[in-house]
Amino acid sequence: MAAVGAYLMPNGMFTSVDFIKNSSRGYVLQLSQWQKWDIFSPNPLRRVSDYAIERDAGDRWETEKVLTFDSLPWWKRAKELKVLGRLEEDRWLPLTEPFLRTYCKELPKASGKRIRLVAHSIVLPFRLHELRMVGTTFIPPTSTILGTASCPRST
Amino acid sequence: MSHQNNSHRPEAESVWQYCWFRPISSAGFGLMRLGFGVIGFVTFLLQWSDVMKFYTSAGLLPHNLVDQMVRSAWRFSLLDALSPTLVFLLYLVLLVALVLITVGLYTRIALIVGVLLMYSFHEYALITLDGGDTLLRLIGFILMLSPCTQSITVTNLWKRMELVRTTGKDQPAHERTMSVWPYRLLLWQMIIMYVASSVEKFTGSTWREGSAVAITLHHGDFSRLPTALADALAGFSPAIGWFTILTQLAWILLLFIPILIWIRVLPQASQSVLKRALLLSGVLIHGAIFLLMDVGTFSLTVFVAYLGLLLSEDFSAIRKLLNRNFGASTIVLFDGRCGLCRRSVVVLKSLDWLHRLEFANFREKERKEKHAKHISMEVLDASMHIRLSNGEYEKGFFAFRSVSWHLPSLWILMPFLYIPGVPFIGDRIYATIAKNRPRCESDTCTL
Repeated sequence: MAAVGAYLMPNGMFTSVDFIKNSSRGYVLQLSQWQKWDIFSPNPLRRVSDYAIERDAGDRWETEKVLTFDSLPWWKRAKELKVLGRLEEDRWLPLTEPFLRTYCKELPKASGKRIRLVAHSIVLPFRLHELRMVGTTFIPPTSTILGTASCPRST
Repeated sequence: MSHQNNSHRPEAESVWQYCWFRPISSAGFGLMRLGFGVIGFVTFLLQWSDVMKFYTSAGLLPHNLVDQMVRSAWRFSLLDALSPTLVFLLYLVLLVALVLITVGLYTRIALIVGVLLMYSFHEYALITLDGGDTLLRLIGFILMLSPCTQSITVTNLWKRMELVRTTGKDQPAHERTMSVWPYRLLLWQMIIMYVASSVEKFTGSTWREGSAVAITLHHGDFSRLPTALADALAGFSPAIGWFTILTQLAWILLLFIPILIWIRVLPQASQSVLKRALLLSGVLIHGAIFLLMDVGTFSLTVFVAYLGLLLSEDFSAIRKLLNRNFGASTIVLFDGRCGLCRRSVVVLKSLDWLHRLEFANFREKERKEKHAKHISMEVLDASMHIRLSNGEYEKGFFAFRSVSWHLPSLWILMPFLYIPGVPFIGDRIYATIAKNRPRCESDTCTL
C-alpha cells in the first residue's frame, strides 16, 4: 500500500517518496496496482460532445451514424462514450483510424468509401450563476474532425 | 454470519498478532467476492459484441500500435501477441472463472485465473477503462490473496452438509473466520482512493468555487437529468461538493484512530462509529451518482468494496436496525431423523443473514412440547411446519414462502412464489418430496 500511495504522488515532492516510487514501480505496474483517482477532478470536463460518423459522398460528407448518450444502447453507452471522449485527447488520437474501421461493417453505404469521426461540442460555463440557466442559454457548438479512415470494399 | 471473537485486545496478545492475524468473520469478504464475481461477469458479458473491437488486434488496437500506445517498462498483457480467436477463447475462460468466483466453486483457482485474465484484458484496452474497472481490479487482487473462500461458497455449503451427514453437527461459526490482514489491505486501499480523490478535487477551482457538481449534472455525455432539472439543482452544487470533499478526506482518520484507541485516547467503539458514518456518506454520494449519472460501474463497485469492510459488529448493527420492528423468531420445525431435512436446515441457516429463524427438531420431545404441542407427529412428519411470531402455523410450500420473506437472498424469488398457479404446483411438488424422503432411526443417516 505504501508503494501504491507513493505511485499516486507527483514526482519531486519528497526524496523518500521518489525513492519508494522508483523502487516499487515494477511491483505496481506488473501487478496492475496503478491507480489514479481523478474522477471529476481536478475539474469536471466541461466539454460536452455529440459524435457523428460521416461518409464521403463526393461533394459533401453525409452523416451515417450518430453516437450520443441517447442513441447508444444503455449497456454500451458508458464504454463507448469513454472511448470517444479519449479520442479527443492527443494521446489517443492514433486510435481514431482503427476505431472508425470497426464501424465499416455496420455501415453498408461506407463500403469502399472514406469515413470520418466528427465531434460536435459545446463547453459548459464555469460559473455557478451561469450553470443555473444552461437550459435557456445558447452555447455555440464547435465541430472538430477527429480522424478519417477508408472502409474496404465489401465483397 | 459468523461472529468474531471481540474479547481479543492488544493487551492479550502481541500487537503484531492483533493487527494482522486476529480472526474476523469472513462473511464480509464472502459477500465482496460474490459482488466482485457478479459485477465482473455482467460487465464483461455486456461487452460480448465488442470483444473483437476492444480486446483484439482486429479492433481498436492493432498489434503494431501496442508498444507505441499502451506499453512501457513493466507493463504487459497476454493479449498483446494473441490472435482474435484465442482472445475470444480467453474471454470465455474469464466469464467461466467469474461465474465460479460468484458461486464459490474452485474459488481459489477461479480467483487466480479470473483476476490475472482481468489484468490482461484491462491492460490491453486501457482506452476503455473507468474508475469502476480500476477498483474492480484492485478488489480482485486483494480477494486473490485473501483466505476468503470459507464464507458464502457452494464448496463450504457442501462441506457443512457433509459434516451434518457424517456427524450430525453443523460447522462451528469460528471455522468461517479469516485473519484480519486482508481487511486492513482493503481499508487502506479505500483510504488511498478517497484521500487521493479529495486532494485532486482540492486542486480544482470548480470544486473550491462550488460549480463542479453543477457541471457534472449538466454533462450530456453521462447525466441522466433533463437540463431544466439540472438548472434547478445547480444551487445545491457548493454544499454537495464540499460534503463530498470533506467526507472523502475524513477517511484518513480511519488510519489514525486505531493508534488513538491503542493509547486509550479514544474508546474502542469510535472506530466502528466513524467507519459506519463514512460508509453511510459514501452510500449517499455513490447512490446519487448511480441514480443521476451513467458513469459505468463505479458506484456499484464501491458498494461491493464496502461489503468487505463489514465486520461482525457491523452485521449485528445492520441486523438490529432491520429487525427493530420484527417480533419473535419464526420457528422452523424439522425432522431430525431425515438427512435431507437436516441438510435443508444447513442451507436455510446459511441464508438466514438476519437471524430471524430458529430451528427445532420435532423428534426431540422437549422441543415438540414447546413449539408444537397440539400438532400430531404424523402431521409434522408429512411436511415442514413453521410457527410464526403471532403463534400461527404454516406448512409445506406456504411455510417455505413465508420463510423466504426473512431470507434476503431469496427476495428475488418472492414475486414468482405469488404468481397464480405456482402455490398449487409448489404445494404438490413439496408434498411429493416430503412423502418420499428417506428417514432413519439414528441421528446420523444418509439420503
